[in-house]
Amino acid sequence: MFNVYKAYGKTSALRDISLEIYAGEIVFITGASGAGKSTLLKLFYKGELASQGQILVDGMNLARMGARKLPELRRRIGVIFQDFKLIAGRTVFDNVALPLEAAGEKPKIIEKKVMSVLRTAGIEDKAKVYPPSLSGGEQQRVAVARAVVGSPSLILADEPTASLDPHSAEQVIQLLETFHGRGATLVIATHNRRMISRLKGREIRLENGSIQERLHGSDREMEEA
Amino acid sequence: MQKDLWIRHFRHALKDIRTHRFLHGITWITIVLSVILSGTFILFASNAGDVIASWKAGVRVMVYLEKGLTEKDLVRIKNSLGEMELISDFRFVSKMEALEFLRMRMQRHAAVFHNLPENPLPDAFELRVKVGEQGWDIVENVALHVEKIQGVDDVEYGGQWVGRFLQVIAMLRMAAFGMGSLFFLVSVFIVANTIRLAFYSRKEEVEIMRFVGAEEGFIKAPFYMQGFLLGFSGGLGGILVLFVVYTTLTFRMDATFSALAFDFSFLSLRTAATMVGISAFVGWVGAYLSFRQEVLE
Repeated sequence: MFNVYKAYGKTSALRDISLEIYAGEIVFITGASGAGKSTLLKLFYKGELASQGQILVDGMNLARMGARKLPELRRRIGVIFQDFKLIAGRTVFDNVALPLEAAGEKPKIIEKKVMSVLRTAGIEDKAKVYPPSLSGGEQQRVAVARAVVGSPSLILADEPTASLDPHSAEQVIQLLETFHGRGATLVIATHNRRMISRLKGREIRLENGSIQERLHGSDREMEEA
Repeated sequence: MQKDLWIRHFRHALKDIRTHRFLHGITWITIVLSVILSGTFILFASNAGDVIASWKAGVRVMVYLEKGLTEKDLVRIKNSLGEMELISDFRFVSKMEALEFLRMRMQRHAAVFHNLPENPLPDAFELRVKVGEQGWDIVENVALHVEKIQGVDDVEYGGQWVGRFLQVIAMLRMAAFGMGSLFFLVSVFIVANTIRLAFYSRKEEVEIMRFVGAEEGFIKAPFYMQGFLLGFSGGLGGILVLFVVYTTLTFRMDATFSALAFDFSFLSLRTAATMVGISAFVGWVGAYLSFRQEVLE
Protein backbone atom coordinates (compact mmCIF):
# COMPACT_ATOMS: atom_id res chain seq x y z
CA MET A 1 0.00 0.00 0.00
CA PHE A 2 1.68 3.25 -1.12
CA ASN A 3 0.64 6.82 -0.35
CA VAL A 4 -2.98 5.87 0.09
CA TYR A 5 -5.62 8.49 0.84
CA LYS A 6 -9.29 7.96 1.48
CA ALA A 7 -11.80 10.78 1.79
CA TYR A 8 -15.59 10.84 2.16
CA GLY A 9 -16.53 14.11 0.54
CA LYS A 10 -14.45 16.73 2.33
CA THR A 11 -13.78 14.49 5.32
CA SER A 12 -10.44 12.75 5.18
CA ALA A 13 -10.52 9.20 6.62
CA LEU A 14 -6.99 8.05 5.74
CA ARG A 15 -3.94 10.16 4.90
CA ASP A 16 -0.74 9.11 3.21
CA ILE A 17 -0.78 5.47 4.33
CA SER A 18 2.18 3.40 3.14
CA LEU A 19 2.73 -0.07 4.51
CA GLU A 20 3.92 -3.48 3.45
CA ILE A 21 2.56 -6.73 4.83
CA TYR A 22 4.53 -9.92 4.24
CA ALA A 23 3.17 -13.42 3.72
CA GLY A 24 2.60 -15.28 6.99
CA GLU A 25 2.81 -12.11 9.07
CA ILE A 26 0.41 -10.91 11.78
CA VAL A 27 -0.33 -7.18 11.66
CA PHE A 28 -2.51 -5.37 14.17
CA ILE A 29 -4.14 -2.09 13.21
CA THR A 30 -4.84 -0.20 16.39
CA GLY A 31 -6.07 3.25 17.29
CA ALA A 32 -9.03 5.02 18.81
CA SER A 33 -12.52 4.69 17.37
CA GLY A 34 -12.73 6.72 14.18
CA ALA A 35 -8.98 6.53 13.57
CA GLY A 36 -9.58 4.77 10.24
CA LYS A 37 -8.92 1.09 11.16
CA SER A 38 -12.04 -0.35 9.51
CA THR A 39 -11.63 1.88 6.45
CA LEU A 40 -8.07 0.65 6.05
CA LEU A 41 -9.21 -2.98 6.15
CA LYS A 42 -11.98 -2.28 3.64
CA LEU A 43 -9.44 -0.97 1.17
CA PHE A 44 -7.77 -4.41 1.06
CA TYR A 45 -10.88 -6.21 -0.21
CA LYS A 46 -12.24 -3.26 -2.18
CA GLY A 47 -15.07 -2.75 0.26
CA GLU A 48 -14.07 0.89 -0.25
CA LEU A 49 -12.06 2.46 -3.04
CA ALA A 50 -8.96 4.50 -2.26
CA SER A 51 -9.25 8.14 -3.28
CA GLN A 52 -5.57 8.19 -4.14
CA GLY A 53 -2.54 5.89 -3.98
CA GLN A 54 -1.77 2.34 -4.96
CA ILE A 55 -2.75 -0.91 -3.28
CA LEU A 56 -1.33 -4.30 -4.27
CA VAL A 57 -2.81 -7.49 -2.81
CA ASP A 58 -1.25 -10.82 -3.73
CA GLY A 59 0.11 -9.24 -6.93
CA MET A 60 -3.23 -7.66 -7.90
CA ASN A 61 -3.26 -3.89 -8.42
CA LEU A 62 -6.63 -2.88 -6.98
CA ALA A 63 -6.75 0.50 -8.72
CA ARG A 64 -6.48 -1.13 -12.14
CA MET A 65 -8.57 -4.18 -11.33
CA GLY A 66 -11.94 -4.34 -13.10
CA ALA A 67 -15.22 -5.35 -11.48
CA ARG A 68 -14.99 -8.80 -13.10
CA LYS A 69 -11.82 -9.57 -11.12
CA LEU A 70 -13.34 -8.54 -7.78
CA PRO A 71 -14.75 -12.01 -6.89
CA GLU A 72 -11.32 -13.53 -7.54
CA LEU A 73 -9.67 -11.01 -5.19
CA ARG A 74 -12.27 -11.66 -2.49
CA ARG A 75 -11.81 -15.42 -2.76
CA ARG A 76 -8.16 -14.86 -1.88
CA ILE A 77 -9.14 -12.91 1.24
CA GLY A 78 -11.12 -14.10 4.26
CA VAL A 79 -12.95 -11.33 6.11
CA ILE A 80 -14.14 -11.49 9.74
CA PHE A 81 -16.51 -8.77 10.91
CA GLN A 82 -17.27 -7.50 14.37
CA ASP A 83 -20.98 -8.17 13.84
CA PHE A 84 -20.25 -11.64 12.33
CA LYS A 85 -22.33 -11.03 9.18
CA LEU A 86 -23.79 -14.52 9.11
CA ILE A 87 -26.88 -15.35 7.06
CA ALA A 88 -29.64 -16.01 9.60
CA GLY A 89 -31.71 -18.19 7.27
CA ARG A 90 -28.88 -20.63 6.57
CA THR A 91 -27.44 -23.27 8.84
CA VAL A 92 -23.92 -23.01 10.21
CA PHE A 93 -22.82 -25.55 7.59
CA ASP A 94 -24.37 -23.54 4.74
CA ASN A 95 -22.85 -20.28 6.02
CA VAL A 96 -19.37 -21.78 6.16
CA ALA A 97 -19.86 -23.51 2.80
CA LEU A 98 -20.72 -20.25 1.01
CA PRO A 99 -17.18 -19.27 -0.15
CA LEU A 100 -16.62 -22.79 -1.48
CA GLU A 101 -19.99 -22.83 -3.28
CA ALA A 102 -19.12 -19.44 -4.77
CA ALA A 103 -15.81 -20.86 -5.93
CA GLY A 104 -17.68 -23.71 -7.68
CA GLU A 105 -16.35 -26.54 -5.48
CA LYS A 106 -18.01 -29.94 -5.68
CA PRO A 107 -20.43 -30.90 -2.86
CA LYS A 108 -18.23 -33.73 -1.57
CA ILE A 109 -15.20 -31.45 -1.27
CA ILE A 110 -17.35 -28.74 0.31
CA GLU A 111 -18.62 -31.16 2.95
CA LYS A 112 -15.13 -32.43 3.74
CA LYS A 113 -13.60 -28.95 4.04
CA VAL A 114 -16.49 -27.43 5.99
CA MET A 115 -16.64 -30.27 8.53
CA SER A 116 -12.87 -30.11 8.94
CA VAL A 117 -12.87 -26.39 9.66
CA LEU A 118 -15.89 -26.67 11.98
CA ARG A 119 -14.03 -29.40 13.89
CA THR A 120 -11.02 -27.10 14.29
CA ALA A 121 -13.31 -24.31 15.45
CA GLY A 122 -14.94 -26.67 17.97
CA ILE A 123 -18.44 -26.21 16.57
CA GLU A 124 -18.80 -29.41 14.58
CA ASP A 125 -21.97 -30.28 16.53
CA LYS A 126 -23.57 -26.98 15.49
CA ALA A 127 -23.41 -27.68 11.76
CA LYS A 128 -27.19 -27.94 11.35
CA VAL A 129 -28.02 -25.11 13.73
CA TYR A 130 -29.11 -21.65 12.55
CA PRO A 131 -26.87 -18.73 13.66
CA PRO A 132 -29.48 -16.82 15.72
CA SER A 133 -29.63 -19.72 18.19
CA LEU A 134 -25.86 -19.56 18.84
CA SER A 135 -24.01 -17.46 21.42
CA GLY A 136 -21.92 -14.49 20.26
CA GLY A 137 -18.70 -16.45 20.69
CA GLU A 138 -20.02 -19.36 18.69
CA GLN A 139 -21.24 -17.05 15.94
CA GLN A 140 -17.83 -15.44 15.72
CA ARG A 141 -16.20 -18.88 15.48
CA VAL A 142 -18.57 -19.65 12.59
CA ALA A 143 -17.51 -16.37 10.97
CA VAL A 144 -13.84 -17.31 11.41
CA ALA A 145 -14.53 -20.76 9.95
CA ARG A 146 -16.21 -19.12 6.93
CA ALA A 147 -13.26 -16.76 6.49
CA VAL A 148 -10.67 -19.56 6.48
CA VAL A 149 -12.54 -22.43 4.77
CA GLY A 150 -11.35 -21.44 1.31
CA SER A 151 -7.70 -21.34 2.53
CA PRO A 152 -7.25 -17.64 1.69
CA SER A 153 -3.75 -16.19 1.71
CA LEU A 154 -4.93 -13.15 3.68
CA ILE A 155 -7.36 -12.98 6.60
CA LEU A 156 -8.75 -9.58 7.59
CA ALA A 157 -10.47 -9.29 10.96
CA ASP A 158 -12.29 -6.13 11.97
CA GLU A 159 -12.58 -6.02 15.77
CA PRO A 160 -13.22 -9.79 15.96
CA THR A 161 -13.46 -9.87 19.76
CA ALA A 162 -15.09 -6.49 20.41
CA SER A 163 -18.56 -7.83 21.07
CA LEU A 164 -17.49 -10.98 22.92
CA ASP A 165 -17.06 -11.85 26.60
CA PRO A 166 -13.45 -12.64 27.71
CA HIS A 167 -13.92 -16.42 27.48
CA SER A 168 -15.36 -16.29 23.94
CA ALA A 169 -12.73 -13.75 22.92
CA GLU A 170 -10.05 -16.16 24.13
CA GLN A 171 -11.50 -18.96 21.99
CA VAL A 172 -11.51 -16.71 18.91
CA ILE A 173 -7.89 -15.66 19.58
CA GLN A 174 -6.90 -19.34 19.85
CA LEU A 175 -8.65 -20.05 16.59
CA LEU A 176 -6.90 -17.20 14.78
CA GLU A 177 -3.62 -18.46 16.18
CA THR A 178 -4.36 -21.94 14.83
CA PHE A 179 -5.10 -20.69 11.32
CA HIS A 180 -2.08 -18.39 11.36
CA GLY A 181 -0.07 -21.48 12.23
CA ARG A 182 -1.34 -23.02 9.00
CA GLY A 183 0.24 -20.22 6.96
CA ALA A 184 -2.37 -17.48 6.69
CA THR A 185 -1.42 -13.79 6.88
CA LEU A 186 -3.51 -11.98 9.49
CA VAL A 187 -4.42 -8.30 9.51
CA ILE A 188 -6.48 -7.53 12.59
CA ALA A 189 -8.05 -4.23 13.57
CA THR A 190 -8.45 -4.37 17.33
CA HIS A 191 -8.41 -2.71 20.74
CA ASN A 192 -7.77 -6.03 22.46
CA ARG A 193 -4.33 -5.69 24.13
CA ARG A 194 -4.47 -9.29 25.30
CA MET A 195 -4.78 -10.48 21.72
CA ILE A 196 -1.93 -8.23 20.59
CA SER A 197 0.48 -9.45 23.26
CA ARG A 198 -0.62 -13.06 22.78
CA LEU A 199 -0.23 -13.26 18.98
CA LYS A 200 3.01 -11.26 18.90
CA GLY A 201 2.54 -9.46 15.60
CA ARG A 202 3.52 -6.09 14.22
CA GLU A 203 1.37 -3.19 15.37
CA ILE A 204 0.44 -0.14 13.34
CA ARG A 205 -1.15 2.64 15.32
CA LEU A 206 -3.47 5.00 13.49
CA GLU A 207 -4.46 8.43 14.65
CA ASN A 208 -6.82 10.67 12.71
CA GLY A 209 -6.28 8.61 9.58
CA SER A 210 -2.47 8.64 9.63
CA ILE A 211 0.06 6.09 10.77
CA GLN A 212 1.31 7.32 14.12
CA GLU A 213 3.60 4.50 15.16
CA ARG A 214 4.91 1.14 13.91
CA LEU A 215 5.79 -1.29 16.68
CA HIS A 216 7.30 -4.76 16.45
CA GLY A 217 6.73 -7.40 19.12
CA SER A 218 10.01 -6.59 20.91
CA ASP A 219 9.38 -2.80 20.86
CA ARG A 220 5.95 -3.35 22.34
CA GLU A 221 7.26 -5.61 25.09
CA MET A 222 9.71 -2.89 26.06
CA GLU A 223 6.97 -0.27 25.92
CA GLU A 224 4.64 -2.39 28.03
CA ALA A 225 7.43 -3.12 30.54
CA MET B 1 -22.57 -24.73 -14.82
CA GLN B 2 -22.53 -28.01 -12.99
CA LYS B 3 -25.67 -29.93 -12.11
CA ASP B 4 -25.24 -29.51 -8.34
CA LEU B 5 -25.12 -25.75 -8.76
CA TRP B 6 -28.38 -25.74 -10.72
CA ILE B 7 -29.98 -27.81 -7.98
CA ARG B 8 -28.67 -25.33 -5.41
CA HIS B 9 -30.09 -22.37 -7.34
CA PHE B 10 -33.39 -24.20 -7.82
CA ARG B 11 -33.59 -24.93 -4.07
CA HIS B 12 -32.90 -21.30 -3.23
CA ALA B 13 -35.45 -20.10 -5.78
CA LEU B 14 -38.12 -22.36 -4.27
CA LYS B 15 -37.18 -21.24 -0.77
CA ASP B 16 -37.56 -17.60 -1.80
CA ILE B 17 -40.91 -18.31 -3.40
CA ARG B 18 -42.05 -20.01 -0.18
CA THR B 19 -40.76 -17.16 1.99
CA HIS B 20 -42.55 -14.49 -0.05
CA ARG B 21 -45.51 -16.68 -0.94
CA PHE B 22 -48.10 -13.89 -0.92
CA LEU B 23 -46.11 -11.66 -3.28
CA HIS B 24 -45.21 -14.54 -5.56
CA GLY B 25 -48.82 -15.79 -5.37
CA ILE B 26 -50.14 -12.45 -6.64
CA THR B 27 -47.57 -12.45 -9.44
CA TRP B 28 -48.42 -16.03 -10.35
CA ILE B 29 -52.15 -15.24 -10.49
CA THR B 30 -51.44 -12.23 -12.74
CA ILE B 31 -49.51 -14.45 -15.14
CA VAL B 32 -52.24 -17.11 -15.04
CA LEU B 33 -54.89 -14.47 -15.82
CA SER B 34 -52.78 -13.08 -18.66
CA VAL B 35 -52.43 -16.53 -20.17
CA ILE B 36 -56.15 -17.28 -19.73
CA LEU B 37 -57.15 -14.01 -21.37
CA SER B 38 -54.70 -14.27 -24.25
CA GLY B 39 -55.49 -17.97 -24.61
CA THR B 40 -59.23 -17.26 -24.82
CA PHE B 41 -58.72 -14.76 -27.60
CA ILE B 42 -56.36 -17.09 -29.43
CA LEU B 43 -58.86 -19.92 -28.96
CA PHE B 44 -61.68 -17.94 -30.55
CA ALA B 45 -59.48 -16.49 -33.27
CA SER B 46 -58.05 -19.88 -34.25
CA ASN B 47 -61.46 -21.56 -34.30
CA ALA B 48 -62.94 -18.70 -36.28
CA GLY B 49 -59.99 -19.04 -38.62
CA ASP B 50 -60.86 -22.72 -39.10
CA VAL B 51 -64.47 -21.82 -39.89
CA ILE B 52 -63.37 -19.20 -42.42
CA ALA B 53 -61.00 -21.71 -43.99
CA SER B 54 -63.83 -24.22 -44.34
CA TRP B 55 -66.04 -21.53 -45.87
CA LYS B 56 -63.35 -20.60 -48.33
CA ALA B 57 -63.34 -24.21 -49.46
CA GLY B 58 -66.98 -23.73 -50.46
CA VAL B 59 -69.67 -21.32 -49.26
CA ARG B 60 -73.16 -22.80 -49.04
CA VAL B 61 -75.82 -20.92 -51.05
CA MET B 62 -79.51 -21.93 -51.03
CA VAL B 63 -81.50 -21.31 -54.22
CA TYR B 64 -85.27 -21.49 -53.57
CA LEU B 65 -87.45 -22.22 -56.60
CA GLU B 66 -90.88 -20.94 -57.57
CA LYS B 67 -93.85 -23.25 -57.07
CA GLY B 68 -95.27 -25.30 -59.92
CA LEU B 69 -92.11 -25.80 -61.96
CA THR B 70 -92.04 -28.71 -64.42
CA GLU B 71 -89.33 -31.36 -64.80
CA LYS B 72 -88.18 -29.50 -67.92
CA ASP B 73 -87.76 -26.28 -65.90
CA LEU B 74 -85.71 -28.11 -63.29
CA VAL B 75 -83.39 -29.54 -65.96
CA ARG B 76 -82.96 -26.08 -67.46
CA ILE B 77 -82.07 -24.54 -64.10
CA LYS B 78 -79.73 -27.44 -63.37
CA ASN B 79 -77.96 -26.88 -66.70
CA SER B 80 -77.63 -23.17 -66.01
CA LEU B 81 -76.07 -23.84 -62.63
CA GLY B 82 -73.74 -26.44 -64.12
CA GLU B 83 -72.43 -23.89 -66.60
CA MET B 84 -71.25 -21.56 -63.83
CA GLU B 85 -67.54 -22.19 -63.15
CA LEU B 86 -67.56 -20.78 -59.64
CA ILE B 87 -70.10 -23.31 -58.46
CA SER B 88 -68.08 -26.27 -57.27
CA ASP B 89 -70.99 -28.51 -56.44
CA PHE B 90 -74.78 -28.44 -56.33
CA ARG B 91 -77.63 -30.75 -55.48
CA PHE B 92 -81.40 -30.65 -55.69
CA VAL B 93 -83.26 -30.55 -52.37
CA SER B 94 -86.89 -31.44 -52.84
CA LYS B 95 -89.51 -29.83 -50.65
CA MET B 96 -90.22 -33.30 -49.17
CA GLU B 97 -86.58 -33.70 -48.18
CA ALA B 98 -86.54 -30.19 -46.71
CA LEU B 99 -89.65 -30.91 -44.63
CA GLU B 100 -88.17 -34.19 -43.41
CA PHE B 101 -84.98 -32.37 -42.37
CA LEU B 102 -87.05 -29.74 -40.56
CA ARG B 103 -89.02 -32.45 -38.73
CA MET B 104 -85.78 -34.05 -37.54
CA ARG B 105 -84.42 -30.76 -36.33
CA MET B 106 -87.64 -29.83 -34.52
CA GLN B 107 -88.60 -33.16 -33.02
CA ARG B 108 -89.93 -31.53 -29.83
CA HIS B 109 -92.44 -29.52 -31.89
CA ALA B 110 -93.55 -32.42 -34.09
CA ALA B 111 -97.23 -31.53 -33.54
CA VAL B 112 -96.80 -28.42 -35.69
CA PHE B 113 -96.16 -30.58 -38.77
CA HIS B 114 -99.13 -32.93 -38.23
CA ASN B 115 -101.75 -30.26 -38.90
CA LEU B 116 -100.20 -28.84 -42.07
CA PRO B 117 -102.66 -28.94 -45.01
CA GLU B 118 -99.77 -29.00 -47.47
CA ASN B 119 -95.93 -28.76 -47.48
CA PRO B 120 -95.18 -25.00 -47.28
CA LEU B 121 -91.50 -25.39 -48.20
CA PRO B 122 -90.25 -24.78 -51.76
CA ASP B 123 -88.00 -27.03 -53.84
CA ALA B 124 -84.43 -25.81 -53.77
CA PHE B 125 -80.87 -26.23 -54.99
CA GLU B 126 -78.00 -26.28 -52.50
CA LEU B 127 -74.84 -24.81 -54.08
CA ARG B 128 -71.22 -24.66 -52.98
CA VAL B 129 -69.38 -21.59 -54.25
CA LYS B 130 -65.58 -21.56 -54.40
CA VAL B 131 -64.33 -18.45 -52.62
CA GLY B 132 -60.60 -19.13 -52.70
CA GLU B 133 -58.43 -16.02 -52.66
CA GLN B 134 -60.92 -13.99 -54.74
CA GLY B 135 -62.80 -12.69 -51.72
CA TRP B 136 -66.35 -12.79 -50.51
CA ASP B 137 -67.75 -10.56 -53.29
CA ILE B 138 -67.68 -13.57 -55.55
CA VAL B 139 -70.53 -15.14 -53.57
CA GLU B 140 -72.64 -12.05 -54.08
CA ASN B 141 -71.92 -12.08 -57.84
CA VAL B 142 -72.92 -15.74 -58.11
CA ALA B 143 -76.08 -15.04 -56.11
CA LEU B 144 -77.03 -12.17 -58.47
CA HIS B 145 -76.50 -14.36 -61.53
CA VAL B 146 -78.49 -17.25 -60.09
CA GLU B 147 -81.31 -14.91 -59.06
CA LYS B 148 -81.76 -13.96 -62.74
CA ILE B 149 -82.38 -17.57 -63.84
CA GLN B 150 -86.03 -18.03 -64.72
CA GLY B 151 -87.84 -20.09 -62.06
CA VAL B 152 -85.60 -19.00 -59.18
CA ASP B 153 -87.61 -17.35 -56.41
CA ASP B 154 -84.94 -16.41 -53.87
CA VAL B 155 -81.25 -16.87 -53.11
CA GLU B 156 -79.88 -17.04 -49.57
CA TYR B 157 -76.22 -16.97 -48.74
CA GLY B 158 -75.91 -15.00 -45.51
CA GLY B 159 -73.67 -12.50 -47.24
CA GLN B 160 -74.15 -9.65 -44.83
CA TRP B 161 -73.52 -11.58 -41.65
CA VAL B 162 -70.50 -13.29 -43.21
CA GLY B 163 -69.00 -9.85 -43.78
CA ARG B 164 -69.80 -8.82 -40.23
CA PHE B 165 -68.42 -12.06 -38.91
CA LEU B 166 -65.16 -11.43 -40.74
CA GLN B 167 -64.98 -7.94 -39.26
CA VAL B 168 -65.55 -9.36 -35.78
CA ILE B 169 -62.83 -11.95 -36.35
CA ALA B 170 -60.39 -9.28 -37.50
CA MET B 171 -61.21 -7.21 -34.43
CA LEU B 172 -60.90 -10.27 -32.23
CA ARG B 173 -57.45 -10.96 -33.62
CA MET B 174 -56.36 -7.39 -33.03
CA ALA B 175 -57.82 -7.47 -29.54
CA ALA B 176 -56.03 -10.78 -28.88
CA PHE B 177 -52.76 -9.24 -29.94
CA GLY B 178 -53.35 -5.99 -28.05
CA MET B 179 -54.67 -7.53 -24.84
CA GLY B 180 -52.07 -10.28 -24.92
CA SER B 181 -49.25 -7.78 -25.32
CA LEU B 182 -50.69 -5.52 -22.63
CA PHE B 183 -51.16 -8.31 -20.12
CA PHE B 184 -47.72 -9.75 -20.77
CA LEU B 185 -46.24 -6.28 -20.30
CA VAL B 186 -48.11 -6.00 -17.00
CA SER B 187 -46.79 -9.46 -16.07
CA VAL B 188 -43.21 -8.43 -16.90
CA PHE B 189 -43.61 -5.35 -14.73
CA ILE B 190 -45.09 -7.30 -11.81
CA VAL B 191 -42.47 -10.06 -12.05
CA ALA B 192 -39.73 -7.42 -12.16
CA ASN B 193 -41.05 -5.79 -8.99
CA THR B 194 -41.54 -9.11 -7.21
CA ILE B 195 -37.99 -10.21 -7.99
CA ARG B 196 -36.73 -6.80 -6.99
CA LEU B 197 -38.46 -7.01 -3.62
CA ALA B 198 -37.18 -10.57 -3.10
CA PHE B 199 -33.69 -9.34 -3.99
CA TYR B 200 -33.92 -6.42 -1.55
CA SER B 201 -35.21 -8.67 1.22
CA ARG B 202 -32.01 -10.68 0.76
CA LYS B 203 -29.82 -7.61 0.32
CA GLU B 204 -27.69 -8.43 3.37
CA GLU B 205 -27.22 -12.01 2.21
CA VAL B 206 -26.28 -10.76 -1.24
CA GLU B 207 -23.70 -8.39 0.29
CA ILE B 208 -22.20 -11.26 2.31
CA MET B 209 -22.06 -13.37 -0.85
CA ARG B 210 -20.18 -10.57 -2.58
CA PHE B 211 -17.76 -10.37 0.36
CA VAL B 212 -16.92 -14.06 0.08
CA GLY B 213 -16.19 -13.73 -3.64
CA ALA B 214 -19.40 -14.94 -5.28
CA GLU B 215 -19.77 -13.96 -8.93
CA GLU B 216 -22.80 -11.87 -9.90
CA GLY B 217 -24.12 -14.78 -11.96
CA PHE B 218 -23.97 -17.05 -8.92
CA ILE B 219 -25.83 -14.47 -6.81
CA LYS B 220 -28.48 -13.66 -9.37
CA ALA B 221 -29.11 -17.11 -10.81
CA PRO B 222 -31.71 -18.06 -8.14
CA PHE B 223 -33.62 -14.84 -8.89
CA TYR B 224 -33.61 -15.54 -12.63
CA MET B 225 -34.80 -19.02 -11.80
CA GLN B 226 -37.59 -17.55 -9.67
CA GLY B 227 -38.75 -15.43 -12.60
CA PHE B 228 -38.55 -18.38 -14.95
CA LEU B 229 -40.42 -20.66 -12.55
CA LEU B 230 -43.14 -18.05 -11.98
CA GLY B 231 -43.58 -17.58 -15.71
CA PHE B 232 -43.44 -21.26 -16.57
CA SER B 233 -45.79 -22.42 -13.82
CA GLY B 234 -48.10 -19.45 -14.46
CA GLY B 235 -48.24 -20.34 -18.16
CA LEU B 236 -48.91 -23.98 -17.37
CA GLY B 237 -51.56 -23.01 -14.80
CA GLY B 238 -53.28 -20.65 -17.25
CA ILE B 239 -53.41 -23.28 -20.00
CA LEU B 240 -54.71 -25.85 -17.51
CA VAL B 241 -57.50 -23.54 -16.25
CA LEU B 242 -58.39 -22.68 -19.85
CA PHE B 243 -58.54 -26.37 -20.74
CA VAL B 244 -60.78 -27.19 -17.76
CA VAL B 245 -63.15 -24.31 -18.60
CA TYR B 246 -63.10 -25.26 -22.30
CA THR B 247 -63.84 -28.93 -21.55
CA THR B 248 -66.70 -28.05 -19.21
CA LEU B 249 -68.26 -25.56 -21.63
CA THR B 250 -67.89 -27.68 -24.77
CA PHE B 251 -69.30 -30.71 -22.95
CA ARG B 252 -72.44 -28.70 -22.15
CA MET B 253 -72.67 -27.07 -25.56
CA ASP B 254 -71.72 -30.11 -27.57
CA ALA B 255 -75.23 -30.56 -29.01
CA THR B 256 -75.36 -26.93 -30.17
CA PHE B 257 -71.98 -27.13 -31.87
CA SER B 258 -72.93 -30.40 -33.56
CA ALA B 259 -76.13 -28.90 -34.88
CA LEU B 260 -74.14 -26.03 -36.36
CA ALA B 261 -71.73 -28.52 -37.90
CA PHE B 262 -69.06 -26.53 -36.10
CA ASP B 263 -66.03 -28.33 -34.66
CA PHE B 264 -64.75 -26.26 -31.79
CA SER B 265 -61.21 -27.36 -30.97
CA PHE B 266 -58.80 -26.47 -28.13
CA LEU B 267 -55.41 -24.83 -28.66
CA SER B 268 -52.98 -27.09 -30.46
CA LEU B 269 -50.18 -28.59 -28.40
CA ARG B 270 -47.74 -26.38 -30.28
CA THR B 271 -49.69 -23.19 -29.49
CA ALA B 272 -50.08 -24.18 -25.82
CA ALA B 273 -46.36 -24.99 -25.54
CA THR B 274 -45.50 -21.67 -27.23
CA MET B 275 -47.67 -19.80 -24.73
CA VAL B 276 -46.01 -21.54 -21.79
CA GLY B 277 -42.62 -20.78 -23.35
CA ILE B 278 -43.50 -17.10 -23.83
CA SER B 279 -44.76 -16.97 -20.26
CA ALA B 280 -41.50 -18.46 -18.94
CA PHE B 281 -39.59 -15.95 -21.06
CA VAL B 282 -41.72 -13.13 -19.60
CA GLY B 283 -40.66 -14.30 -16.11
CA TRP B 284 -37.03 -14.32 -17.13
CA VAL B 285 -37.30 -10.85 -18.71
CA GLY B 286 -38.96 -9.61 -15.50
CA ALA B 287 -35.96 -10.81 -13.48
CA TYR B 288 -33.58 -9.27 -16.01
CA LEU B 289 -35.37 -5.90 -15.82
CA SER B 290 -35.31 -5.93 -12.03
CA PHE B 291 -31.52 -6.20 -12.14
CA ARG B 292 -31.30 -3.57 -14.89
CA GLN B 293 -33.19 -1.22 -12.56
CA GLU B 294 -30.72 -2.05 -9.78
CA VAL B 295 -27.77 -1.18 -12.03
CA LEU B 296 -29.43 2.08 -13.14
CA GLU B 297 -30.05 3.08 -9.54
